[in-house]
Amino acid sequence: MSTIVNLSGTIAEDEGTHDWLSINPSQIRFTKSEGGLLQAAWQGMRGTVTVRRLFPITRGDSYIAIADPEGNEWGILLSNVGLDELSRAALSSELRVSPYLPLIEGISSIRRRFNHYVWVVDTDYGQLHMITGPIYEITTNLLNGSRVITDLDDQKYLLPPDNELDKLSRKWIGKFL
Amino acid sequence: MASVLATSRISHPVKDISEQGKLIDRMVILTSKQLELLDAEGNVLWIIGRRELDKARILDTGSGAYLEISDLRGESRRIAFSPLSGMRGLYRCQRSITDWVNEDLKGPAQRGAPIESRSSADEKWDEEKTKPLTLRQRIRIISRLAHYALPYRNQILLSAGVLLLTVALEMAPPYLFKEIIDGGVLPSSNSKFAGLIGLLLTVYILQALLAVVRTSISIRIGSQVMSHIRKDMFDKLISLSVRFYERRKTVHFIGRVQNDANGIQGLLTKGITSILVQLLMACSILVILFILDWQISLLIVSAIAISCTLLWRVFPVMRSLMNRKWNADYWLQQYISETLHGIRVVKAFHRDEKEKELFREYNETSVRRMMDQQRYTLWLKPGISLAISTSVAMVWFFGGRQVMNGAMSFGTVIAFTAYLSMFLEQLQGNFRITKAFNASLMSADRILELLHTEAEVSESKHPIAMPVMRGEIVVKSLAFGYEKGINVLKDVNLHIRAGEKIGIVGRSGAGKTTLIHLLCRFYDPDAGSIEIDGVDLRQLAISDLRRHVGIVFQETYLFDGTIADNIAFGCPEASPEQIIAAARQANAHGFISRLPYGYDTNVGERGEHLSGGEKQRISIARTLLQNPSVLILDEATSSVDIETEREIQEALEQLCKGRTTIAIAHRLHTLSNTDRIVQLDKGRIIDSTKSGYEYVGEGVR
Repeated sequence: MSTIVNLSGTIAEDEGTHDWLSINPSQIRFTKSEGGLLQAAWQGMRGTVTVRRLFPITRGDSYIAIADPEGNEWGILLSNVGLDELSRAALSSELRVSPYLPLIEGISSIRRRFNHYVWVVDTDYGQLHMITGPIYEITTNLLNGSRVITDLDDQKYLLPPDNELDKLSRKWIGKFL
Repeated sequence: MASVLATSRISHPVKDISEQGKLIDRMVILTSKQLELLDAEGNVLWIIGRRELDKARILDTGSGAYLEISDLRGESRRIAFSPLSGMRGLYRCQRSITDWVNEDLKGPAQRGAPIESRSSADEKWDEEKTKPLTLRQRIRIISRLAHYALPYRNQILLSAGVLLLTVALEMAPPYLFKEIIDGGVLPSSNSKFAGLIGLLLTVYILQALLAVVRTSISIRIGSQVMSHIRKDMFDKLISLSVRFYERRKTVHFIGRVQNDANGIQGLLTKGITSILVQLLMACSILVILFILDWQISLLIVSAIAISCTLLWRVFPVMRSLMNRKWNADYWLQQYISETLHGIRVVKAFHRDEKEKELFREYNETSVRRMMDQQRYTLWLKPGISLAISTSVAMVWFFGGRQVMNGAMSFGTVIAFTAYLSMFLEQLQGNFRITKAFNASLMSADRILELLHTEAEVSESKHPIAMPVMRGEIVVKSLAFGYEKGINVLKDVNLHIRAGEKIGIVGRSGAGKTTLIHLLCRFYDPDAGSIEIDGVDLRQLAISDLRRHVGIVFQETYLFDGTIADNIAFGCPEASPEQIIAAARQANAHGFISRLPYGYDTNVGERGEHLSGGEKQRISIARTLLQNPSVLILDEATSSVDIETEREIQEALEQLCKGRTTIAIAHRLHTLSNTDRIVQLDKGRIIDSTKSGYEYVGEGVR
């Protein structure tokens, strides 16, 4: 029996009803190689691994699929809580781009150009420019009030709820969204 | 080659993620002896000798990818990261490194030319998008809209002429009021009084007649302009690629074709002329007012200038509010459409209450935005009315005092107030038109946005006609992904002889359906090519491709109409005999003939009155009638029972005779008659040597 994160976000006891292998955070170790690759050791297995957030938007720190470079899944890490500090740092740095989903921290401008919109946004990856299609086509509303914005390259950006943004950003949102 | 390498220095600007998690610039330099990784300042971060390097590969991370290189000892290092926008550059860098490792430098790299991370065409495209429109571009856009009105220019000019006459006539009544008071009523001249009243009535009758003429012109040309715009919009929608619709909800296009075309026709047929004429009228009245009393007029003009400045500031806010309301209506419409399309699922999963709740949210947003918009303009109308009343009171105050002093006649005050009311009404009218103009501009934006959308799969400028197709297919180094950076098909090579029957097998997600969608040219490959009879599909005339390549889809889609209409969908000119013959071959004739209305039975929306097997057989008959040289079957029997499948299989045997056939099936026995089985796994062909008989035999064992 292991722990799982239930829908309310709390950790519950795993009843063992699933047919996948859950990875106990206390039993796995992550390190970064000199070349920047993530390596892991778990239950006798050791080597370079790929990691994927299974719920990147709603549960970023839980349910992380661990697989070898060929895609063969080792199992699913239920939560990063319980990992040792070094492992957690190594895993977090790898998960920064899994997926690459910039979080918009502020909107500097949204300019309407013919047939599209040009956004200048401050994100957790620095200031980025993005070009999107018509506003009504590019937003997906999430239950918590956040929105996912998709640009012309299909790149997605996470826009937090309005009340978490500064006044200028809200002004731009108010104008177009 | 060695001399080339000795002089080569290839630069690839790339991105990476810093330790702080920021996107930073990097540069990959390939010299004759080593690979150098440089930071943005040009400092060398890492070097590896060319002879130590083994390979470079792209590692997808989800919405981005790393470029990873490995040395001969098996050690790997990530040297770059790219978001989706830079994926082409990352792939180019990877290819360049691979070629460089294999001593296979080609093209511009041989001349030492820098290879950019994104093609210059891509960058130019992005740069163009971020620039504001120039005056010339704006004029070009407006003229694109104006060309819809151009065929009716004579009628529009006539309408404008009539409007001008109306304006001239509208100037007369206030002057006649003045004459009636000063020359008829006050001096008690009955004959002059009667004559002036007669003249006033004549003016009113002429105004009414001209209004009728103008409206009838507008009705005539308005509907034609709207029809023309709708036609162009629908033509564009039909010409756009499958991928365009995959990324969008189709429901709102219904509203766009109907409402936006409607919204703009008023602007083109009478809106612009109305604004111009009303402005002309306002100017004319203003001149008359100044002639009557320039001092009072000056006072009024100052007040108007302040009001106009306020209106100018209101204008963009109004537009933004209208846009926001339109967005909310779009989301609401999209939600309703999706829920109703999935009504069976909603009911089966008892989601009724949840869906009602969601609807309430969308609806409330829409209503709230409508109220925001209405609230914002709420004060405008009463405000303008107040301004009019105040101006009239001011005229009475100043004019009345002048009448009392004998400096102005009573008739002049009456005429002045009448002209002033007309003038302010004109301004109010212009405001109304401006509001409608704003809404029309939004419609125009959306129309042009659609009309300017470039089709991803478009006809070649010089298409190659193929009146007859043998059906030999050659797939060369094919790669394709629905999303940038995630290839569903990788380096697929396949040769299918004319008339050969091929079965494609593989697990879900192996790329089977993607391969046949590329064969049908619903998409173009990201790399490599597909040739039919030696012609690249991108060069082949699309009409010929569609005529010669027939497909039976897994999901049968029938249109609301009769069975005969649906069978003849690809050949509208087909005779009843041909339709029956196709239905017989498809084993559909039996059940059709038992229906009370036979071939004239209406299948209902999406064929809802028919069973899955019946719909599938009609779709086979539809393809049979098309008589294609290349036949594609995408799990054509996956959704029917064994008995129906047997009947459909018989129909398919008929369909395949003498044609190149490519079939996808999960049920192996349906592929036993194929000449060859192509096995796909993770986007690659892993085997294509076994016959259907051998493969199915192995599967059974």
